[in-house]
Amino acid sequence: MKIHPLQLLTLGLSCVSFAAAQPVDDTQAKQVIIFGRHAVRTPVLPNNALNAFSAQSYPVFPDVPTGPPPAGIAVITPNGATDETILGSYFHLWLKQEGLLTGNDSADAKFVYFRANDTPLITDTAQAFWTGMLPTAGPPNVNVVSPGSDPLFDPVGAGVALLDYQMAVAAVNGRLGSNPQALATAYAPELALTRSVLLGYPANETPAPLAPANVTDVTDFTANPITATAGSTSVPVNLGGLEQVIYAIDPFVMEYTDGLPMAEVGWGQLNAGSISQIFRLYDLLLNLEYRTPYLARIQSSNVASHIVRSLVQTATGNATPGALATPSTKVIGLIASNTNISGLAGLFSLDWLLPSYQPDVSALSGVLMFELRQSQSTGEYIVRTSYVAQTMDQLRNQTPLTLDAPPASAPVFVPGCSVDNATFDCPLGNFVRVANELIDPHSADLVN
Amino acid sequence: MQIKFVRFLPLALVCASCLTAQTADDTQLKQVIIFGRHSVRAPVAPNAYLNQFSAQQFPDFSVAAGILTPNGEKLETILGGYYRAWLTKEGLLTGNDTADANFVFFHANAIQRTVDTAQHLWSGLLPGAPVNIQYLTPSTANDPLFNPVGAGVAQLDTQKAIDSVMGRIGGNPPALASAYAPEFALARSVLLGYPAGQTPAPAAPANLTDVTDFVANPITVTAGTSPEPLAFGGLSTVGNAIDPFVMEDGDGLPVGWGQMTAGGVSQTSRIYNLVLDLEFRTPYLARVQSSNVASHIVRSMVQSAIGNVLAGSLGTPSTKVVVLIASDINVCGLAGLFHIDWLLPGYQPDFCGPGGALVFELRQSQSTGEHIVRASYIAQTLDQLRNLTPLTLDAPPAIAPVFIPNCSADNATFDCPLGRFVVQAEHAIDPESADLVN
Repeated sequence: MKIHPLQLLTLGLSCVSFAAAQPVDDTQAKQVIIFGRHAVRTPVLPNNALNAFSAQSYPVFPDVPTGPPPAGIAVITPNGATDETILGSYFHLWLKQEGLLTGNDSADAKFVYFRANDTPLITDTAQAFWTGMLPTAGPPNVNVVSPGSDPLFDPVGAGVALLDYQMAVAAVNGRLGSNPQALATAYAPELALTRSVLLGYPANETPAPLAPANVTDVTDFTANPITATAGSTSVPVNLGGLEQVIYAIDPFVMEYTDGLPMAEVGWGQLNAGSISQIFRLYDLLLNLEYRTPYLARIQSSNVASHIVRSLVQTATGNATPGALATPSTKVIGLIASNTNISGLAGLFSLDWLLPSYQPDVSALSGVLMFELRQSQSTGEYIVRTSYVAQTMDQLRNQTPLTLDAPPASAPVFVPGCSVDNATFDCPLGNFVRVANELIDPHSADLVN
Repeated sequence: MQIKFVRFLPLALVCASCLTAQTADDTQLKQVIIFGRHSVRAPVAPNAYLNQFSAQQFPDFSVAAGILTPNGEKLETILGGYYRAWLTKEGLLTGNDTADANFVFFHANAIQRTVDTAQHLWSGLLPGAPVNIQYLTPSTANDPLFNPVGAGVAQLDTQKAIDSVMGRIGGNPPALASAYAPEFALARSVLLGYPAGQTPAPAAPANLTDVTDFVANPITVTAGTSPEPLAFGGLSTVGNAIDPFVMEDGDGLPVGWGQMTAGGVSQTSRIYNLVLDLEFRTPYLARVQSSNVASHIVRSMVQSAIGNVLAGSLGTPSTKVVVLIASDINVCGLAGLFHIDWLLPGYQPDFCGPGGALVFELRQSQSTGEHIVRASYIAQTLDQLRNLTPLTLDAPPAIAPVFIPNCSADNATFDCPLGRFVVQAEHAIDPESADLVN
């Protein structure tokens, strides 16, 4: 499939200098696009699989439906749903302050478009967010593509984009000197910490004890080397032994943010700081698989195209091919996974840092947000980008959020576009130009 | 200044698919461009300054601050000897050094350690030919290739530079303190002389400055002093304090007063890498600061491919070896401009080791005539540096083949058709930040 890049020459949207020139913010929000990750969930592997990696059994998340797999696997936890609704309630307040919501939820719902990737985890997240944002609007109205892959979130699986797996492997190998195994040394501190937690000995014990015979040491890269080989639509590049490490550590952040007793967070051996350090390994995998330029371009062009076209559609007031919802839609919520958010950020070379997290972490429930705003004095449109997420402790403590006690928020600079004001505003015309350079037209469609 | 970009339409250099179709490597090396960092040097800050940060005195490197060490000189000659062996095998050098020197172009940044590095690399590469290095004088001169802002070729909007960095870290530089807490804790333990992981960490002695005390000296992002575009408050101080560790290791000295392993050196180098990443790889900064050297590298390859003198190139159309010696800030910036990454054994990703170089080979297919660019990052490992390890074709330095986004093919060496490389360069390079001076 092929799309034509947007042409905005007829619009007065390409003024580059106005934002830098204006000392006060006279812009008004016209539309907000919220691209979010699912909430706190149970691990993606059942405990009987995970327990092969650890000296002690992984904890059970409370109040999650049980039964033979897949029951209870990779599903939102009740606390995760609560956190997501808290976040939705914050957006209710903020969007009202910005004039995009009125407080009449039923009326407002007509101008809200939600779309979620079609797994229970993600649709449940979207519903929980909606419930917080529009509490009296009735049942959540969340669009899903089903059956099959959603072209926004899995364009390769949906057939919109074509991934050359050999090229993907080369693109990753060519960032690692064709020596993925060297990651074991580069990330030795994180792998040593991981091993100590999984096998249950103090982090600085020297020499590190042998793994018990009945436990698979996920950091034994002699047995299971780190490699880069062709993957599948869900995991485009298979990173060998690194993948197993990720499965093993993935539960730790969920244990902490779900509020499990600290004795059950890494079996009492982890705190917020060490979880953050261990999750550099997860960030590494996301960076390689989704932020690598070739992979970001193939996997994230379609959602990028739809986001940009939706902003333009609202700015122009005209229905635009490849846009979401309608020109009058004020709030678009897209809910998917960290893989999707990392990919879009990689495509635009966006970075952020929030307190308690590593750089560029796509936190649980966290969102990459694009505000379309219009100057009240000049009529110009700008895009204001930020990354918003509850901190690890806000999630763990289910901290109520208000305008005075908000989630963590990072204003984001859009390379090649942002001007140097405090919110890094990016003129819409420039945003479209940058997007046209980055988006692969062969990896995006014009379906609305 | 403004340049017009290289146009290649008359040349048959834009074949994108020729490489994937060919299984055997029938390419011949036509030119190599080696863009390297200086070798092992003394810390850039004098010991009298550094010693306020540490319980014990920093070791004496036997040379003044920022000067290449005698071992650094030897290491660079060893590396030059390796390049000699490799380029002779590839047919770019003949073994007749005096004759070969006519086809070799060396250019170094004006400061002592880069000039000295270039001289010793030459001595290894062409031991039978008089050293011939081009560089500006005095040592404070701003070379347009390596400090185009100072030289007036490129104009840096300092406020935009600050914002482009702030906009990567949520406008919250102090949050780096917790994100890099393990590295700061390790650095503190080494500097103050207690076991890493000791709990609770002891208070700093009253007569010392604790560089990890970001309450006293917060991490900030402000305007810097040329050639460093930005300053990072407390983070810059930590960068100074840990800078000696890699050099101690590379120079064969005890490292971190005997407290640091190779792994510890690598881990603390993440802080140094962070500063380089923010200051030189951030897209706006890479574009302003590295467009000129990128433009000259690309044009030099085109000049060699077409055989005609081209404005904004280095050497002549018949130059076979171009060597540019500068600093890690330059190599990182160019890598950032092209979004290229590497990983070598013992180092952190994207680390620019002492003596390490980004290498661009211009090669030509013997069957189709097509020109390709083959990029790699080459550096001695920390152990090769420390042990002054002789290098041969059978015992080479560490080499990372490098994938050039939107250009490389999926063969083992990630070959990038020259025409496509030029297209990518056109996207990446800011013509307002480059000149056409040869």
